Amino acid sequence: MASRTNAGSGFTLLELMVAMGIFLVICAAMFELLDMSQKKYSAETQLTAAYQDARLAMDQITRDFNVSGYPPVGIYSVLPTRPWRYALGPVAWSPNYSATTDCQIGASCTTPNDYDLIIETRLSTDPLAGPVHVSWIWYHLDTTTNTLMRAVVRKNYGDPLDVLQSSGEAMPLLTHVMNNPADPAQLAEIKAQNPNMYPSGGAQPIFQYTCDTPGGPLPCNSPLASGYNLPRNIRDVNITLIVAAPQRDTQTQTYKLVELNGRGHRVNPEL
Amino acid sequence: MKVYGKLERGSRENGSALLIAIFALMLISVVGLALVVSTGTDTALAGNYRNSTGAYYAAVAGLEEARGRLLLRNPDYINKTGAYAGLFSAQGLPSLGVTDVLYIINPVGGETVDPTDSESPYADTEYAAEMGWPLSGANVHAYISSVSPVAGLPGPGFKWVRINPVTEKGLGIDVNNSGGTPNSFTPLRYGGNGLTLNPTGNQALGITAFVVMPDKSTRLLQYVTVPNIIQTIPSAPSGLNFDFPAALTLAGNVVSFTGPSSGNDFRITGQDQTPVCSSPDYMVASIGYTNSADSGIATGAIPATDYVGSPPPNGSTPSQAPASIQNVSPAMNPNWLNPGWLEPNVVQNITTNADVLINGNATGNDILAKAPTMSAINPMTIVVNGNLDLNSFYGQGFGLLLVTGTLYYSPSATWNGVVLVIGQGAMTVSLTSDPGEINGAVFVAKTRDASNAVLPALGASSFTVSGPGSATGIKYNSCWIHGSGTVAGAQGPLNFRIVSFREITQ
Repeated sequence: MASRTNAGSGFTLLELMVAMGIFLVICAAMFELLDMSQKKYSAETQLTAAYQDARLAMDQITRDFNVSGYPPVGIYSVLPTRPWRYALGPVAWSPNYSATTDCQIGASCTTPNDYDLIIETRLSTDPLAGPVHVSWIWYHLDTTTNTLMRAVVRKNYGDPLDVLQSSGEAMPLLTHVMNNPADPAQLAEIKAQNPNMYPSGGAQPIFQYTCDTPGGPLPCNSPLASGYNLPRNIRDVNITLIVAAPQRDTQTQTYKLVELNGRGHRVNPEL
Repeated sequence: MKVYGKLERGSRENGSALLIAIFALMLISVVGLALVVSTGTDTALAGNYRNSTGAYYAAVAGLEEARGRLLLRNPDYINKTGAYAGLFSAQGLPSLGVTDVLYIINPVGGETVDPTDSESPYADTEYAAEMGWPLSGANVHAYISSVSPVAGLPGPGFKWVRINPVTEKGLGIDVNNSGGTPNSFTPLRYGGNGLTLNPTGNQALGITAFVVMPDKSTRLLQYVTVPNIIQTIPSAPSGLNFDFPAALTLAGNVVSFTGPSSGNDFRITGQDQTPVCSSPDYMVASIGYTNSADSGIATGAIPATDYVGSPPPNGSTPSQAPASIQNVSPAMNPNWLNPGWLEPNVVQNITTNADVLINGNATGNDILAKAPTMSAINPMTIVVNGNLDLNSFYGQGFGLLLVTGTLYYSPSATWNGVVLVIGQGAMTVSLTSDPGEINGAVFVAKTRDASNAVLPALGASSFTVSGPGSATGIKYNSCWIHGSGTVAGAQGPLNFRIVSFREITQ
């Protein structure tokens, strides 16, 4: 027996083929697994990156809004003649932007609205020395490119929205923002896949406002806030960002979305 | 033989197992490392975001601690022991010199927080930039330790909060639009309408909070605040400052006053019951109205001897009705006649600062249940957002009472302090033979219609007395209205109102 084993040191063809077969099956399974995890990893990385970008954008918006409305009109005993020395409120509006006129959020306001917000404040990065100059910080969702744009211009005599639109200062802050895609097919698809992110059934507003009323802060679009749904009464802005990974998931061919919620709270008093 | 053969084969394949093991280990290590690296990056990014938000809220916590502790009625009032007696009046109003600086510090785990130490990571370099002179040229008072619930806890807590007067230069704002170089030596005051360089009004204070994040970056947030005080001092109209011009003020248009029927009494006197609190002593009207067309309300004030007083400013000789019943609008801050101002600045302001807030109708016992510690030395701010029924109460209240609905009062109840009936502006008294009274002042204004929408102008507020009885009624009392540091009933400022808020980037 021993000599036979020694003499036939090798495998039969059958043994070899069975062994190789098993090896190939295992290898195939392994590679399949590797491929899956690779795709998964790549998709998750993209989503994580999108999430980080959204966090930065959220941080920027809330930081800007928290210090909105500085310096308030009430700090002056004699109001300067130049309107950029003070903020009329936390948020600039259009049309009818002036100390004595208003617009109604959800009705006559072109801005602020669900996807458009102009914060009015002195930039904290402005040097302390020198006279105050208030700036307009514009956040606006471009629904064609699904990009949240940010622009900063110095306040002047004009209508805030006109000034910002014609300034050419708008820069992309966050891409793949899926709150309100202009493409109806795209909106329908992501809504069907993520119904929880679009509770109203339609697009999901980025900016939702609460207004000060005699009965306390209320959602500005509530009928109870009627008459107080003015930009200068905005107390809080609730921000919802729905962001997609740049590419569709290679396995499911769906959009991978992440939702981020935040809130800006205005402290400066109103006019 | 068998054994030998096995050994031989084993020795021929020596090393391959090691090689395979090494390869396997490398593979596992690479995968493991990749996992660790990706998770690590994630954690760091999440951490940065958390720190930034946490630092903001930590700084706000510091600002709010300072703002709260400037209140005379706060148990942790920063001048509780009189350590800063020269910096605050007995009524809790600040009077800091331009170089005076107070710090609330919040060291963690045995560290030293000394904002004046320029070598320290917690040095206050911002002060010099704001005021124009370094901290060594300022009068820095003994540090105050933080009592915030987050004090002493690790994490991005605030390190210090500075309290000091503000100047035009410090704010970078020409508050009176005078042009030229900003003033750097005059502490700003609040003159009822914005900050001013004039010596009238209450002093404005800057509160600045400093936070260091774990990555050593810093955040600075700053409030400018002014005390809101309801008081009797006529020379200091500031913020909510209100000078009660009568024991009972019926503000508005087409107001009505229905006195008790013949043989019954509800006395209303504008003679200060404790003149020690007003300097100089003065007397106010028994009943004040604010529209000259409403002078007819005096006909309801019978008998005339029940209504003693004299309208300011001449109030030295007491008169009886109808002379003690006057149009007091010339002596009033005109804002108090504007519903659009009263609602946000008085009603909302008091509501947000109330010790007890009851939404809906309430009774005196509802208030006592929510304010068991209310007493003469611990007066409270009570808001009833609805009707308040004090009939058959047989209890006492102390402090500021705001009722937005109808106030049903009977002499079974005593209230020491200020009673504001602003909203529906209706007060109804049902006389009894009990000895209760209102010590302080009553102000009635109708700012809302029946559906609680704010009126464009004050409406017809009303005051009605009915039933048999003889009551002490309303006695004007300056101590109960504004109090002072030495007299029971002291409330001090209602709050320190935020005039502005900003972030400072160093």
